[in-house]
Amino acid sequence: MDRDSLDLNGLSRSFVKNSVIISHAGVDQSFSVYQHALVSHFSRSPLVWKINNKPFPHRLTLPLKFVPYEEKLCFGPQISATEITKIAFLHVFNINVTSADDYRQNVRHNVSDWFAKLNSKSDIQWIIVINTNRAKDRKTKAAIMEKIKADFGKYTNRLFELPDTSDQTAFVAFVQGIQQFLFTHLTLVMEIWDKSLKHQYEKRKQHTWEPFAYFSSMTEYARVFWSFGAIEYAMSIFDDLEKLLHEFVLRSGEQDSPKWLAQILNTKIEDRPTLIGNFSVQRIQKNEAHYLGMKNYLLCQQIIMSIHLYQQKMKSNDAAPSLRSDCAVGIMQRALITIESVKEFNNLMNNKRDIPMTCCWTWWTVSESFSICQLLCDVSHLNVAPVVLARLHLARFDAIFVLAKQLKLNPEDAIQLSEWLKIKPITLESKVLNGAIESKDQMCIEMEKAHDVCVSSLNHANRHRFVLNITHQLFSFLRSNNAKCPLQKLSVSKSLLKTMPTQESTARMLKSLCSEHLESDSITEEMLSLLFFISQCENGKDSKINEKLIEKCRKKAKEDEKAIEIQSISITEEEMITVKIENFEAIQNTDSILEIRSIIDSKLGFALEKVEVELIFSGDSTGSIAQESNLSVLSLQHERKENICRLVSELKLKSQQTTSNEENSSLKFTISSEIPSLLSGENQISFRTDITKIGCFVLEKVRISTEFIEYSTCNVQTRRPPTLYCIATPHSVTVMNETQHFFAGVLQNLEIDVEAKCDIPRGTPLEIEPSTPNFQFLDEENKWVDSRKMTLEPFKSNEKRRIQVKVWLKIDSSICESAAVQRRSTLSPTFSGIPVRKFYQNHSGVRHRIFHQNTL
Amino acid sequence: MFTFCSLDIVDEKASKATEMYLGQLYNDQKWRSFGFITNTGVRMILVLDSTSAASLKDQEIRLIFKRFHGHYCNTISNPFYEIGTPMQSKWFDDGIKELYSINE
Repeated sequence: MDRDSLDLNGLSRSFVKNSVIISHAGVDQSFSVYQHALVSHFSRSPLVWKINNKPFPHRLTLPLKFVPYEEKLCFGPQISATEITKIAFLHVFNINVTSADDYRQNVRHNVSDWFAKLNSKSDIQWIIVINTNRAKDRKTKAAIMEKIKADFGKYTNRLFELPDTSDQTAFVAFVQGIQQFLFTHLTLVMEIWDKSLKHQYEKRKQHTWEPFAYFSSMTEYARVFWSFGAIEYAMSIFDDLEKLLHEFVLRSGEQDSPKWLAQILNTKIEDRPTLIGNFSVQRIQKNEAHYLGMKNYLLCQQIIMSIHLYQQKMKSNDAAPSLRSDCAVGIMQRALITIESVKEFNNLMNNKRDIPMTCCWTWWTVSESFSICQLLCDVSHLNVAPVVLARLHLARFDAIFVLAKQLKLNPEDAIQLSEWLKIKPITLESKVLNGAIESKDQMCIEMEKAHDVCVSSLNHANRHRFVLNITHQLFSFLRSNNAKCPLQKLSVSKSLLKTMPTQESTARMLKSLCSEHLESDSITEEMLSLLFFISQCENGKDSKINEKLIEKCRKKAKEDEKAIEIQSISITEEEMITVKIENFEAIQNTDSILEIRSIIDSKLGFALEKVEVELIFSGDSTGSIAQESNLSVLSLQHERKENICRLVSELKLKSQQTTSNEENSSLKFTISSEIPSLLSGENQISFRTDITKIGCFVLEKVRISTEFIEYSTCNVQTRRPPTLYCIATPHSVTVMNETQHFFAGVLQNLEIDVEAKCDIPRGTPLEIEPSTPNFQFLDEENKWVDSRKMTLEPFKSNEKRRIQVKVWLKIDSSICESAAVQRRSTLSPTFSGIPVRKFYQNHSGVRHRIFHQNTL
Repeated sequence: MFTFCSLDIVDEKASKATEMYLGQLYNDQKWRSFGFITNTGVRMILVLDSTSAASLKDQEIRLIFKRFHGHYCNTISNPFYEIGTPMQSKWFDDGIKELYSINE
């Protein structure tokens, strides 16, 4: 059998059943008719076998085989347990006579001889079948039977009369009789066999124990039940045998460990065991008595048994839809157990000699078991057992990796291994491995191939850490061979980094794994995350890594034309920068200076230069605790047009208002401070700003940014809620002589009273603008200007000052048209750089109305 | 890397585990790892060299984990200890040394 001609039926047929031998003697012309009927009946009807008065848990179908009588087919005390299957279960003598005389003259002496031979042996099951269809009448038939019964008076229950082929009653009685005798023999044989196995098992801890004899007997024992259709029972025997061997290996380190383990170790692997090559092997040979050989044989048997079980279940009406994939998974699991137990044996027994051969065997065992499973379903897309699939691929990668390492350590093994691989039948895998052994480049190629397949299956099984491990192993090997590492195969995703502990050993591991990758020009987000994570693991100790990170961030920001958010490259959920704000004066007025001191604790591990820190306050008053928690809050709304009230969800209102808020920037208040560098650890930063807006502002977030990197946080530590109430204080500016008449062409004084209602700690600009272009003011340099600007000295609270400004009204044609005197002058002084208030003189010139701009 | 890989198997086994001890996780030619996960999800991994691991019985490994868990609980009970930070405790170090000496 080879890989190309592999098919389920072929595999299934490779198991040759142990037959239930029935010897027959005497005239067999008429008995041949019954033989076919019996074979057909016993192979199709599962029977209940009672052993020790208890029914055996599985029904048996007996594959009968009729052979001519021979003395060697008789049971005897000299027969060993393994030869039990070679003896006849039942001996049949056929008598077909016309009359009693015919019997006496022609048959009787033959029966006597046959009986005498059987009687000399112990525990023989026999029957005599008397075919009386040739007798003329009933009387003759009765006479024949009477004569025979007289000869075998003690054994009348062993005499079966078959008067006619159409006599159903006689045939049923005959079948039942045969069944009874077959089971009697089976019980007897199995009791002896059980006893023998038990006896052998009890001696397992003795140094002289022969593991191969026990193994061979046990496998034969299982194969008998397998032949009789009790496949599940046979499977359990194979599994137990496997466990037993494995247990011995596990306990090999103990003091009372038997010496026979070492004997197994001493048996050299001279053959080249493969699955496909061993399927047709019915009995394991003595020269395969090494651990690998026994395990390989066991696996072969288990695979064929799994296929038999699959075919048996497939025929039944209640076959599960997943039967094919279940069978494939079962085969893969058994292959995995076998491979791991062989690896364990070599490890624990310190068997370095067989490691290269075991690696090669693992390599093709994985491939061959996949090929077999492929006959059932597509294993590459098997979703039911991705872990098993991944572990098998991992075993294959490990095998080639260990083999390469081993050959590097002991190059002299290569010749011996190459010879071993040339043992026929040569397979595709043996050729590939031979090529890899002979050339390092080929070894690298094969390892890369195994790596790629393994990575895909490991990712499918969510074993992402293993992916990193095997890539590390591959890169180590390639580096040691001065081969180029395929960097595209290195996948250090953010999700994978999240699973790593933030510690120095992780940084060392990553630096070793990604040494080439870190040197590359890549500025992907993955690369930035990797560098940032390494820096975090080392707490910024490696300045080279920090420099690389900053350089790559700068490049990336330039390319994207926006600063990189630290959160986007950070691996942990932890706050990288924490902000603590000390107490500040919460109530401010529009002319005061706000001072806030803060402590910024950076956990970045490296310093940031030219940093701008912004405290962003929001005046959005619609946010409530309930809304922040996304709870449903209803608000009563009055609709003016329809004059009705509605309950409206505040979430809806908020979304409506958010859009309007963005348009209205007056609800945002930002205080910023620039610092030359933000060091790792605590940094004290002071903020100082003028209050230019009024309203209630809550600290929304703190933004820390450089030209290429930024970080925003809402988590600000304060002792009080970081709320700022900016109120407007109504300073008054009054033109005292506004009621007087202004004459054109005459220099006159304009008297303005300025009163500060609170402290104005700095110089404040005052701007006086005329409402008509006819007015002109005399400035400090004695020049006439259209608007007068001056700076007032700082004010104390409630301080009042009078300012005198020289003004004249130009003479022009519009004035001349009407009265010489113009009384419609309107002045608009602006205070504190912003038009705090606006006043105008009405046409009557009697009263002033003062409006606060923000109340308009 | 070996310990790191074992975490994948801890994740796999933790979802199906009925007890805190997870058994053997992974082994290679040199090492063998065993896992333990507490009820609060703290993962503990014991790495032994292959030959030592073979000589230790399952019950002994369980006992090591049980004691280690006890020491861990005592250490994190310190109100000044911050969860997630490296453990710097004399009692913890002494406990682990004692654990080593018993198993040697």
